[in-house]
Formats: sequence, structure tokens, C-alpha cells
Amino acid sequence: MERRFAFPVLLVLTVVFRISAQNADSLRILQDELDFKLLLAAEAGDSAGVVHLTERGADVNASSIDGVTPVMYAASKGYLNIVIHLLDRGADISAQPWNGIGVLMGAVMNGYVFIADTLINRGANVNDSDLLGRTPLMVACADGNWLMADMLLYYGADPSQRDEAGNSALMYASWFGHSEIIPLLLEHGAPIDPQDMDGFTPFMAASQQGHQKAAELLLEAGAEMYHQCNEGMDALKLAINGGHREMTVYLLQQGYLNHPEAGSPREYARLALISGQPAIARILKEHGLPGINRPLIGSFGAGLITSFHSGDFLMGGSFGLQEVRYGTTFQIRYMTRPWVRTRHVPVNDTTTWVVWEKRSRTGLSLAKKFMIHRSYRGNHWGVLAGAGVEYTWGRYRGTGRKPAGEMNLVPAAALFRSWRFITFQMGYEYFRTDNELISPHYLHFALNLDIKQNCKSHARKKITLF
Amino acid sequence: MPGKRSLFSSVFHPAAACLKWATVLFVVVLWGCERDTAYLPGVDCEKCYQEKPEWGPLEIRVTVSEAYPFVPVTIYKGNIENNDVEYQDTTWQDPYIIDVPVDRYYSVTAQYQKDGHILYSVDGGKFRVRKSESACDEPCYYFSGGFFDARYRE
Repeated sequence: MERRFAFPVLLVLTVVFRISAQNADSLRILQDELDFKLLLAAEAGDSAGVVHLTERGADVNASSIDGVTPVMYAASKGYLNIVIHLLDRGADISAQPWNGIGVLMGAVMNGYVFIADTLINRGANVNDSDLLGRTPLMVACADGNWLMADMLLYYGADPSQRDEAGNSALMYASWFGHSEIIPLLLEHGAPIDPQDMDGFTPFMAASQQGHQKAAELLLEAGAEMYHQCNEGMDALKLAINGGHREMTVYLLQQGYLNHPEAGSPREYARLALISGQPAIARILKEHGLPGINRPLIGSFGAGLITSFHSGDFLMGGSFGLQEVRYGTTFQIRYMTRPWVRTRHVPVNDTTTWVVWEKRSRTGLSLAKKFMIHRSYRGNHWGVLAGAGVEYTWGRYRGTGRKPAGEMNLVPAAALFRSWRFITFQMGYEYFRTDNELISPHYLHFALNLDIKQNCKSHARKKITLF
Repeated sequence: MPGKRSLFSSVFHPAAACLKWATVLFVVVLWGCERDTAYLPGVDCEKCYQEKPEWGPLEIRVTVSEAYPFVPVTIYKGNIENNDVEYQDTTWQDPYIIDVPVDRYYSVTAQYQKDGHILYSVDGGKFRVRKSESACDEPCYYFSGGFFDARYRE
């Protein structure tokens, strides 16, 4: 090429390159916009919009930032015609977002049987699992969707598959109490006693949740009644701990305690009391289990306490034991007045010192709890009444004189509310001293942290869904 | 639709309960403080001394009124039973302020007379000089205590 053409050719090439680059940018922006609109249209069920956008060239496999594609949106929202259209246009049926909830799982989770059926016929893997290993069959069992479970099993869903926690489809059905699905799973060869990572079986899960019908079906189908989880809980203990009276009676009637590996009767009676289930303790006694008559420590606790009225304020701490056989609490406590209160000290007939009094008190208290509401989660409330024996002493500012130390009987009554390991108390307390300027009628608040005596006895099977 | 909550559950719900009762306690705590206090804990950097002071101002609250226009005030070293008088005066001002040596325990009495009966309002405490290295830009000597409430109280 002659040198005189070199510059014009270079110039033309540069201009062409710039124009094509600009066009590419514009085209990319246009494509992104189309893809985004397709996601919105699929999510909103806008069939006409979806058809229009795909015809204009929107990518049927474009995804949101977390990997959700238009067909996933349409399947989880129940838009069958959009699903079919997108699949016809080449949507990837096996794509998965970051949480692993793919097209089929989305349809199953939301109970769209026809869409799930269509997806399976179009090649969706019926045993695909999400990030936590949960399969569509497990989800259908958890939801109690018999039709869906039946359809999935028909297409070859594996009932023996386990999720990351070791739960099988039967475990889901049992834990959620969907007894109608249990025979279906068993007919399709679901193992009856698969233990999860913590050693729980479906029968134990049904017992824990108080689903008697599910437990009955499992037992009739040959489930092993006695199993222990890794923390030593068995089906009867779980039923007792959960406060399920009918379930407890059912297990006892099935001869649970005759099993050679079952714990001692006293162990179950003790657990009923420690779990705060005196009604079940009575049921156990009615069924011939030994009653427990000696005091039984359920928890230790420490807390903050305060007593006050318009003319005084004392605060301090307590350490105590919660006895569960008779529902009593025993506390050692100390309180002090962080400030001072006025006190008149007569010196002789004509002279009085008006001093500032500091005061502290310490002692023991015994109270009985009367439960008004009780739940297996440890959320109780009720009334508490009792009395304490306290020694009180003090000193005055600016003088070596002191008020005389006194022993006092301190009656008290309160409302209490417990949330698992926290107890809040609010009530009345009578505390008289020789300072006649201060009223003996106090409002009393307490906040306690309880440490259960045996944490293992509170082990439970947990399942959380999405 | 969420269920209607009872008064009991709304009063005892953990988060709500903590907030409500903390507010009640805060009010009660303020209420329970009958004796007047002149300072809050901490160092006031504007009232710093670079050198350790040997004397400092003792501030005494008294009740000066029509019934008690002049109030006899006595300052003792140690408790009043020791009868070791540091200073004695009659004041018609509230508060009554006087310079005294620091790092000592003082007691004060203010005398009031009613219907032939004598009331001695007594207060006492340690009057200290403390040193803070970190609270202010430079090392700071400041007074701690030294505030007494000897007002007339029924």
C-alpha cells in the first residue's frame, strides 16, 4: 500500500471501530433492559409481555442477581402458560439460583401440581435438591401435599434421600404430622427408621410433636418404638418434655416401659417434673410409675432485684434454686439503698438529730409458684407467694451512731412471667424497719436468669423450612 | 391477621417489658434520691488544678427562710461525736461555702428550732482531692465530695 493512503485508511478504520463499539454498548444496554423486563413480566404473570419480549430477543435464561430465571419466577407463581412458553423458547430447566431452589422446587413449594408435572415431563430432575439437600418430595411431605407427593413418587422421586441434616421425606411428614402421607411413602419403599444426624427417627419426631396418628401409623408399619437420640432422649421423653398428654398415654399403653432399653420409670417421672409438666407427672403416676416425693432441683438462677416506693429505693442481687416437685423457689438475696433517706434520731427530750440513713438487707426467702399458664417452650406465667427472713442494718452519714440491726419477716406476693431461661417478677413486699418515716409497703421487681439443671433433657428435634 | 393481645402479654412481652420497666425504674431511681447532690460522676476539665490543692471549698446546703433567717452551722473533723470543731458560723445564705483542708472526713450540723425543740440536720462525708491523668488534656486535680445537705427536713 502506498504511504499516501495510510493515514486516510487508518482514520476510516478508527471511525468504524468507534461506531461499532458504541453500537455494541447500546445493544448490550438494550439487551439488559429486555432481559430485566422479561424477569418482571414472568414474575407478574404478564403472558403477552413475555411473548412480546421473547420475540424481541430477550434472553429466556437471563437471571436476577441471585440467579433466579424467568421460568423460576413463573413456576413458583403458578403461571403454567408462561412456563411452557419459556421452555419452548429454550429456558434451562435445570438452572439453579444460589439457594438451589430450582424451577421444580419452586413449583412444589407453592403447591402447583400441574406445573410440577409439566416440568418433570419436560426433563426436570425429580430428585434435585436445594442448598440444604432438601428434595421436592421432602417439601411436599412437609407441606402435607398428598397429591404432589404421590405425583413425585410416581415419577421416581427417591423416598430414601436425605437432606444435609439427615432428614428423610418420612421425617418431614412425621414431624409436621401429615399422617396421610406416611402410608404413601412407606408403600414406595421409604425406610421406616432412618436416623438423622442427631439420632432422631420419624417415630421420635412424631412423638415429640404430639402427632399421635402419625406415631400410630409408623408403629403399625413396624417402626422401632425405642430409639435414643445422641443426647439420650427417646420417644417417651420427647412426648413428656413436649407436654403431650395423649401421646404419653398412648406410648405407655403400647408397653413402652417394657422395652428392655427403656429408661427407669423414675427417670421419666423426674423428667416430667423437671420439664415443668406436673400434669404429665400425674398421668405417669396413674399408669403405675413411681411418684417422686422428695424435692427436685430444676434450675439454678441469679438475678437483679429491686424494691421501691415513692419514699425509698433498694436494689441488689439474688441467687436461688428452683424446686420443681413442689413448685417452690428458694433464694438468698442482698439489697442495698444506693442513696440515703431521712431519719430522725431523738437525742433527748428537746433535741433531735435529722440524719441521712444508709440501709442494706440480706436474707433467705421461700416462695411457692402457682402456674396459670404453662407451655413446653418454658413460657410460663402465674402467681408467686411466700416470705423471707431478712436481717437489715445501716449507718448514718456524719455520725458514728447506727440504726439497730433487725431481723424481719418479709411476706411477698408477685406475678411472674418466664421466657425459657429468663423470669420477670413484679409484686408486693412488706418490709418494715424502725424508721417510721419510710412506708413498709414496697413494689418489688426481679429479673432472673435460670440455668437448667439438666440441659440434655431439653434436647428437641428441630426442622425449619425456608 | 394477628390475634388480639391481652393486657398481660403486652405488659410482659420481653422487649416491651424491658423498655417499660426500665423507664419506670429510671423514674423511681430519680425519685429515690432525696439528698441533694451537686455533681455528676466524672471530671469537669474546666475545674482542674495543675498543682494539688491543700484547701478546697466545702459547700453546705441549708434552709434559709422566714422561719429560719439565720442558721448556725458547725463543721466537725470526723464524726460529730468527736466534737472536733473545724469551724463554726451563722449563715443567712444557701448554700454556705467555706474553704477547708482537703482529704479529710467532715461532718456538718445545721441547727433549726421549732416549738422549743431543736433539730440538728446532720450530714457527713469525705472531702477528697483526686487526680485524673486521662480525662483531660493535662493531668487534673479535682475535688470529690465536699457537698453536704443539711437542710431542714421534717
